Amino acid sequence: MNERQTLQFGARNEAWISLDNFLSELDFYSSTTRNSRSTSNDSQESIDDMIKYLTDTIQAMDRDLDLAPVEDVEAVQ
Amino acid sequence: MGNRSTNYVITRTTTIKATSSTSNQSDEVRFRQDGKVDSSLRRQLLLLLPFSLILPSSPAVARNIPVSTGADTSRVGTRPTLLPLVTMRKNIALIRQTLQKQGRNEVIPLDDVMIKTKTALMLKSSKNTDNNNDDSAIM
Repeated sequence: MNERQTLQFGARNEAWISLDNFLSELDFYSSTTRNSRSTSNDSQESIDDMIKYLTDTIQAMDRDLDLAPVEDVEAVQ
Repeated sequence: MGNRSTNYVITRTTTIKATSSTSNQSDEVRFRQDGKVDSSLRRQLLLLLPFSLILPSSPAVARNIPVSTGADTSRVGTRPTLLPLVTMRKNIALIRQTLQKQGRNEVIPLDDVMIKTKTALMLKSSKNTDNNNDDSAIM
Protein backbone atom coordinates (compact mmCIF):
# COMPACT_ATOMS: atom_id res chain seq x y z
CA MET A 1 0.00 0.00 0.00
CA ASN A 2 1.46 3.33 -0.87
CA GLU A 3 2.00 6.13 1.61
CA ARG A 4 -0.52 8.52 0.12
CA GLN A 5 -3.30 5.98 0.36
CA THR A 6 -2.42 5.29 3.99
CA LEU A 7 -2.64 8.99 4.77
CA GLN A 8 -5.96 9.23 2.93
CA PHE A 9 -7.38 6.31 4.88
CA GLY A 10 -6.24 8.00 8.09
CA ALA A 11 -7.79 11.33 7.15
CA ARG A 12 -11.09 9.71 6.19
CA ASN A 13 -11.20 7.74 9.39
CA GLU A 14 -10.58 10.90 11.40
CA ALA A 15 -13.30 12.68 9.44
CA TRP A 16 -15.73 9.89 10.14
CA ILE A 17 -14.89 9.81 13.87
CA SER A 18 -15.43 13.57 14.16
CA LEU A 19 -18.68 13.41 12.21
CA ASP A 20 -19.85 10.56 14.42
CA ASN A 21 -19.05 12.69 17.48
CA PHE A 22 -21.08 15.52 15.98
CA LEU A 23 -24.06 13.24 15.31
CA SER A 24 -23.94 11.94 18.88
CA GLU A 25 -23.80 15.47 20.25
CA LEU A 26 -26.66 16.55 18.00
CA ASP A 27 -28.70 13.60 19.20
CA PHE A 28 -27.94 14.49 22.82
CA TYR A 29 -28.77 18.14 22.22
CA SER A 30 -32.06 17.40 20.52
CA SER A 31 -33.15 15.00 23.26
CA THR A 32 -32.30 17.40 26.08
CA THR A 33 -33.83 20.48 24.47
CA ARG A 34 -37.02 18.67 23.53
CA ASN A 35 -37.41 17.47 27.08
CA SER A 36 -36.45 20.92 28.39
CA ARG A 37 -33.92 19.36 30.69
CA SER A 38 -31.01 21.53 29.68
CA THR A 39 -29.93 24.87 30.97
CA SER A 40 -28.78 27.68 28.76
CA ASN A 41 -25.22 26.87 29.74
CA ASP A 42 -25.57 23.24 28.75
CA SER A 43 -27.06 24.21 25.42
CA GLN A 44 -24.26 26.59 24.62
CA GLU A 45 -21.67 24.03 25.63
CA SER A 46 -23.34 21.46 23.43
CA ILE A 47 -23.44 23.85 20.48
CA ASP A 48 -19.76 24.67 20.97
CA ASP A 49 -18.95 20.98 20.98
CA MET A 50 -20.90 20.45 17.78
CA ILE A 51 -19.05 23.29 16.08
CA LYS A 52 -15.74 21.85 17.26
CA TYR A 53 -16.58 18.38 15.91
CA LEU A 54 -17.66 19.85 12.58
CA THR A 55 -14.43 21.86 12.40
CA ASP A 56 -12.45 18.69 13.08
CA THR A 57 -14.39 16.91 10.34
CA ILE A 58 -13.73 19.67 7.83
CA GLN A 59 -10.03 19.77 8.70
CA ALA A 60 -9.73 16.00 8.26
CA MET A 61 -11.54 16.16 4.91
CA ASP A 62 -9.24 18.96 3.82
CA ARG A 63 -6.24 16.80 4.70
CA ASP A 64 -7.71 14.06 2.54
CA LEU A 65 -8.44 16.39 -0.37
CA ASP A 66 -4.99 17.96 -0.10
CA LEU A 67 -3.55 14.59 -1.05
CA ALA A 68 -5.51 14.49 -4.30
CA PRO A 69 -4.18 16.27 -7.38
CA VAL A 70 -5.06 19.96 -7.14
CA GLU A 71 -6.41 20.13 -10.69
CA ASP A 72 -8.78 17.21 -10.00
CA VAL A 73 -10.17 18.82 -6.84
CA GLU A 74 -10.63 22.11 -8.64
CA ALA A 75 -12.38 20.40 -11.52
CA VAL A 76 -14.79 18.63 -9.18
CA GLN A 77 -15.59 21.85 -7.38
CA MET B 1 37.45 -21.56 -23.93
CA GLY B 2 38.56 -23.16 -20.67
CA ASN B 3 39.79 -20.74 -18.07
CA ARG B 4 39.44 -17.47 -19.85
CA SER B 5 37.91 -15.12 -17.34
CA THR B 6 35.32 -12.71 -18.54
CA ASN B 7 34.28 -9.75 -16.43
CA TYR B 8 30.90 -8.27 -17.05
CA VAL B 9 30.88 -4.61 -16.14
CA ILE B 10 28.12 -2.17 -15.66
CA THR B 11 28.60 1.50 -15.16
CA ARG B 12 26.59 3.33 -12.58
CA THR B 13 24.28 6.06 -13.69
CA THR B 14 25.00 9.65 -12.85
CA THR B 15 22.26 9.60 -10.21
CA ILE B 16 23.79 6.69 -8.41
CA LYS B 17 27.23 8.24 -8.59
CA ALA B 18 25.89 11.36 -6.98
CA THR B 19 24.50 9.43 -4.06
CA SER B 20 27.50 7.23 -3.55
CA SER B 21 29.86 9.80 -2.17
CA THR B 22 30.44 7.76 0.99
CA SER B 23 31.38 4.71 -0.97
CA ASN B 24 35.00 4.01 -1.63
CA GLN B 25 34.17 1.57 -4.39
CA SER B 26 35.18 2.29 -7.94
CA ASP B 27 32.59 3.52 -10.41
CA GLU B 28 32.24 0.09 -11.86
CA VAL B 29 30.55 -2.87 -10.30
CA ARG B 30 32.15 -6.13 -11.28
CA PHE B 31 30.01 -9.14 -11.96
CA ARG B 32 31.24 -12.58 -11.22
CA GLN B 33 32.14 -14.84 -14.10
CA ASP B 34 28.74 -16.50 -13.99
CA GLY B 35 27.12 -13.15 -14.68
CA LYS B 36 25.82 -12.57 -11.14
CA VAL B 37 26.72 -9.70 -8.89
CA ASP B 38 28.25 -10.44 -5.50
CA SER B 39 25.65 -10.27 -2.76
CA SER B 40 27.49 -7.47 -0.97
CA LEU B 41 27.63 -5.42 -4.13
CA ARG B 42 24.00 -6.17 -4.86
CA ARG B 43 23.08 -4.93 -1.39
CA GLN B 44 25.13 -1.83 -1.95
CA LEU B 45 23.46 -1.18 -5.27
CA LEU B 46 20.02 -1.62 -3.74
CA LEU B 47 20.87 0.87 -1.02
CA LEU B 48 21.92 3.39 -3.61
CA LEU B 49 18.75 3.04 -5.66
CA PRO B 50 16.02 5.54 -4.92
CA PHE B 51 12.99 3.85 -3.43
CA SER B 52 10.85 5.03 -6.32
CA LEU B 53 12.78 2.69 -8.59
CA ILE B 54 12.26 -0.28 -6.30
CA LEU B 55 8.64 0.44 -5.39
CA PRO B 56 6.82 1.78 -8.42
CA SER B 57 4.33 4.51 -7.61
CA SER B 58 1.30 2.77 -9.04
CA PRO B 59 -2.23 3.94 -8.30
CA ALA B 60 -3.52 2.75 -4.95
CA VAL B 61 -5.31 -0.57 -5.17
CA ALA B 62 -5.97 -1.41 -1.54
CA ARG B 63 -9.27 -0.81 0.19
CA ASN B 64 -10.19 -0.85 3.85
CA ILE B 65 -13.64 -2.33 3.35
CA PRO B 66 -14.64 -5.47 1.46
CA VAL B 67 -16.17 -5.38 -2.01
CA SER B 68 -19.44 -6.72 -0.61
CA THR B 69 -19.96 -3.43 1.19
CA GLY B 70 -19.62 -1.44 -1.98
CA ALA B 71 -15.89 -0.83 -2.18
CA ASP B 72 -15.06 -0.23 -5.82
CA THR B 73 -11.43 0.03 -6.83
CA SER B 74 -12.23 0.34 -10.51
CA ARG B 75 -12.60 4.10 -10.16
CA VAL B 76 -9.54 4.71 -8.00
CA GLY B 77 -7.77 7.89 -9.01
CA THR B 78 -10.66 9.24 -11.05
CA ARG B 79 -12.39 12.56 -10.53
CA PRO B 80 -15.89 11.18 -9.86
CA THR B 81 -14.57 9.56 -6.68
CA LEU B 82 -13.78 13.01 -5.32
CA LEU B 83 -17.28 14.34 -5.91
CA PRO B 84 -18.95 12.84 -2.80
CA LEU B 85 -16.11 14.08 -0.60
CA VAL B 86 -16.24 17.61 -1.96
CA THR B 87 -20.05 17.72 -1.73
CA MET B 88 -20.02 16.40 1.81
CA ARG B 89 -17.33 18.83 2.83
CA LYS B 90 -19.33 21.78 1.53
CA ASN B 91 -22.51 20.58 3.21
CA ILE B 92 -20.74 20.10 6.53
CA ALA B 93 -19.33 23.61 6.24
CA LEU B 94 -22.90 24.86 5.78
CA ILE B 95 -24.07 23.02 8.89
CA ARG B 96 -21.25 24.58 10.86
CA GLN B 97 -22.11 27.99 9.51
CA THR B 98 -25.74 27.51 10.52
CA LEU B 99 -24.72 26.49 14.01
CA GLN B 100 -22.34 29.40 14.38
CA LYS B 101 -24.96 31.91 13.30
CA GLN B 102 -27.98 30.50 15.03
CA GLY B 103 -26.22 29.00 18.01
CA ARG B 104 -26.04 32.46 19.51
CA ASN B 105 -29.73 32.16 20.16
CA GLU B 106 -30.62 30.24 23.22
CA VAL B 107 -32.19 27.41 21.29
CA ILE B 108 -31.17 26.67 17.74
CA PRO B 109 -33.82 25.62 15.24
CA LEU B 110 -33.03 21.94 15.23
CA ASP B 111 -35.05 21.16 12.17
CA ASP B 112 -32.79 23.31 10.05
CA VAL B 113 -29.66 21.61 11.33
CA MET B 114 -31.25 18.18 11.06
CA ILE B 115 -32.28 18.74 7.45
CA LYS B 116 -28.82 19.96 6.52
CA THR B 117 -27.21 17.06 8.33
CA LYS B 118 -29.38 14.56 6.50
CA THR B 119 -28.62 16.30 3.22
CA ALA B 120 -24.90 16.14 3.95
CA LEU B 121 -25.04 12.45 4.71
CA MET B 122 -27.05 11.73 1.58
CA LEU B 123 -24.30 13.52 -0.33
CA LYS B 124 -26.76 15.84 -2.03
CA SER B 125 -25.82 19.39 -2.69
CA SER B 126 -27.51 21.63 -0.16
CA LYS B 127 -28.36 25.27 -0.67
CA ASN B 128 -27.60 27.72 2.04
CA THR B 129 -30.62 29.95 2.17
CA ASP B 130 -29.08 32.21 4.78
CA ASN B 131 -25.77 33.15 3.33
CA ASN B 132 -23.76 31.78 0.48
CA ASN B 133 -20.48 33.21 1.66
CA ASP B 134 -18.77 30.28 3.22
CA ASP B 135 -15.41 31.53 4.35
CA SER B 136 -14.16 28.07 5.00
CA ALA B 137 -15.13 26.58 1.67
CA ILE B 138 -12.42 24.75 -0.15
CA MET B 139 -10.24 27.08 -2.10
